[in-house]
Amino acid sequence: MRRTLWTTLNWTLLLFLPLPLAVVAAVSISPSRFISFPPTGFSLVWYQQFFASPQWMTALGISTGIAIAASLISTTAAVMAALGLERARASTRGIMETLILAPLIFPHAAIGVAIFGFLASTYYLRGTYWGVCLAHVLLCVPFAYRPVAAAFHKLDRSLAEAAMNMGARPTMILQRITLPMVAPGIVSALLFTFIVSFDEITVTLFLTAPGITTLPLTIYSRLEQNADPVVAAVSTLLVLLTLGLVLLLQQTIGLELFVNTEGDDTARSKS
Amino acid sequence: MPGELRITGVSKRFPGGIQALDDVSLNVATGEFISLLGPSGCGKTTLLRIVAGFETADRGEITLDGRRLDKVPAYNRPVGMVFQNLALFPHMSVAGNVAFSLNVKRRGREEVRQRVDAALALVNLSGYGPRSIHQLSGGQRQRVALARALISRPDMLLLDEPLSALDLKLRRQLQGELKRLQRRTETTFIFVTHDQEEAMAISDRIAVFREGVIEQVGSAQDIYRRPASRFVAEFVGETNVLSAWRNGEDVLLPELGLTQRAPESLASVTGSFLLSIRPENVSLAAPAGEGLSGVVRETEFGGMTLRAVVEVPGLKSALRAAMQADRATGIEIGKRVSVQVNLASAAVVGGA
Amino acid sequence: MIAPSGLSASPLARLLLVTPKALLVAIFLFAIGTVVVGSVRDNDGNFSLALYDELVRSNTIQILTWRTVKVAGLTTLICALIGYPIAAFIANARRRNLLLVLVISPWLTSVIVRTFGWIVILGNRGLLNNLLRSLGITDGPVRILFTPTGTILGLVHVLAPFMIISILATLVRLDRRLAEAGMSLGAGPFETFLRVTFPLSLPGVLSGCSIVYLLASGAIVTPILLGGLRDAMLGTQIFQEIFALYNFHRASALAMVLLVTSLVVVIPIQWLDGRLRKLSGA
Repeated sequence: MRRTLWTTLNWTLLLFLPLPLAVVAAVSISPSRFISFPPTGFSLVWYQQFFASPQWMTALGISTGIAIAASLISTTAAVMAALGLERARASTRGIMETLILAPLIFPHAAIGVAIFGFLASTYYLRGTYWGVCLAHVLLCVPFAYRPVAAAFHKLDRSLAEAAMNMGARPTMILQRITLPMVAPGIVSALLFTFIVSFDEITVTLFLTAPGITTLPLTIYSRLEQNADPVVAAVSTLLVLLTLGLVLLLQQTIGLELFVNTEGDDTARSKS
Repeated sequence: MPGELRITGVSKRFPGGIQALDDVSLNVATGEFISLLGPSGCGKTTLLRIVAGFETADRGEITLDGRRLDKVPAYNRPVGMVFQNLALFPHMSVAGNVAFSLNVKRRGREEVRQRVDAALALVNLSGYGPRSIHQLSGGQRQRVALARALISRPDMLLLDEPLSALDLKLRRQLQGELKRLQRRTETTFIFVTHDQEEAMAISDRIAVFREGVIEQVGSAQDIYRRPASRFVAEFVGETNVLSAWRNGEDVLLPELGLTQRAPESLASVTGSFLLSIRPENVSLAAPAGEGLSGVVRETEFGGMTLRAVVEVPGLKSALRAAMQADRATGIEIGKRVSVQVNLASAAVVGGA
Repeated sequence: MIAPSGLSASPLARLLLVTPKALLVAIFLFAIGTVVVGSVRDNDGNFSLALYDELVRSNTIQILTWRTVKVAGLTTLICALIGYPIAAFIANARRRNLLLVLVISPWLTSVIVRTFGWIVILGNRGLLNNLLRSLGITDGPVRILFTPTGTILGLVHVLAPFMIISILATLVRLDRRLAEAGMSLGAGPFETFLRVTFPLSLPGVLSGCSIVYLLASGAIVTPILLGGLRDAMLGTQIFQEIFALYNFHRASALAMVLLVTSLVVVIPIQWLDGRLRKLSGA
């Protein structure tokens, strides 16, 4: 008896999580011009409008571009830093790691103002996509570093020693042994930072300027004015994209990465 | 008075098809120290966990003192347990760990304090109450686990290979302490181990397990001297298993080409059978003219004893012998020796 | 002794490797610096503590701060209350991966998408009101949108997965034998949970609380869209200051307030978390 009560309670709470997303999905397939629930029919017209709209497509392209760039830059920097800090004294590495992870303890509104202030004082970055990209890279740095550092941390020195004993040179060891073993960490860093950047809005809000927009920003401005169902279609697509990435992650690396990384503030993303 | 534990016809199959226990029955007398001995995967730990209440048997029943134990949930069984990894609560002090079962029963503070002190004294850890468990050595943590389990005076204590993580000397020391503790508290101890020396050293009786079945139950002496099967003979201590024929008044050992007068112990055995002959019943001496002889292939000096492996014509695997080291002159690798076999202590471990 | 990666590089080379990250860290710190500096300047660029003066005297900023703390605090509390049972449920469930997908997917979706969902549900002609009306419970629309309740609801939904994952990570790493030991010592399921499991899972709860509080207090999108601009929080006000009022300095000052109040909450929690971990023998 108590068990079923517990189970039902939990399932109710669990279904509460995807509920708004389900609602949005339902709205997106309703042909009605006004946002209404329940859907009045079934139609993919809003999706068509999304793909046909140059404004939306541009925003999509920009978001993707920035996300890829931010992901690659922050992950590469993370791998280099992890390699660089390998032999560092524990105290040095500790300080460095605290600094790298520092952005995680700042509220996003404060970070937004900070980057706004920073970009405002640099002439060529202000109001450009590179400025936004830099902002995203700064936000992604901790999220790239964590999984990469954890993977390096788990490296067993004796593997490299065994390889060396069998005649492998340092570059070969790096290539054939180290990098393959650290690969899962690198891949999750790439995926995670991509998601962080793609979804980023709070800080990006501070960087709006004429002509600068990302997909989430476009959604936001549409919502402010007059929400139309195309927004629902875009949102649903984003949800499906995320779902796909999560399933991909689960198949390749396993979701344990989210749950098991040392320290529980693994899971700090955007707000 | 705590009563007898009766395990009757217990079977358990794990998902994946592994038959962990197959119709196992065992009676454990009050106040006895019995070991469940066997190689990994033989079911001994599974049986222990069933008695503790963490697994349920598919079939069979368990009664304590005549009452059904297997129907009682784990937390209501008068059974204490010491886990293999000890499972000490990391967020509590030594005293907190030891007092746990009393705190659950909401005993008064004064009573708890006294009983904790007594329990710690019992395991020679007086004064360690306020310490954190992380500051303790392996042996000390062992003792905390014991105190914790015994403080509520359970009818029975189950121990799941508690000493396996310790080094040899410490293990020997704790084996002795366990034995003394058991006698002092007069609690029934059920002890799981894969180490046959350990089992023989401390138990009143041993139950030898193999692939979910009990092959033999008896005292250490019984099991060593009169093993019921080849497996038991080979698992407990070392032995030579040879085929034998009864030939009138004699016993013939074809693999050695040896014929000897049948001893009293083998008087009633006929036909062909398997004999287990312990190394201490194989003696080596300087080569005599006739009789069985062989070449020493390996020797192993163990302080008091010298063990040797002797190659004998006709025998596939070599013969193992053991003798007192100071009587073993001339027993060296490569040397030829004469071999004598004493059948009086041999045990029949199978029809051929 | 070779490095775990096998790479043999001089200390200088290693230093160079760290440079990109170090540069990024420096930029970040510099950016924070502009906020600190900006908060003690006035519009003419002179050093001035006027804003902090206003902070101490003015009622508005105090109300703002207090509201932010309240909303963020309530959000954290609710997230902990609903997050723990869910985490415990998932930890013991057999189809854990499926459940994790359910929890993680919303979390990885942009906050704007999730907030949009709540707009649809809570609006005057939204799902909730339609439901209530058709059930005959209310006549007029129940106003949840553009109230602090709406903000809290939205924030809880957005941030609950962080709490769940944080608690789950700790629960999953607990030794199962500890619960069995508790039971072998006579503690029933509930007692075992109370005395053994829960205390050991506290670090995860605390971690989750600090994450959720941090994110809630610094949130902008959800409070603006679901709470409106009338009952502003620090985050929304900061945004207003920059984009509606063009007052960077005021925004910086508010950002400093936000920073300080979050750190005041988060740092003790992290410290407590660290102590608890050490106590449990990390």
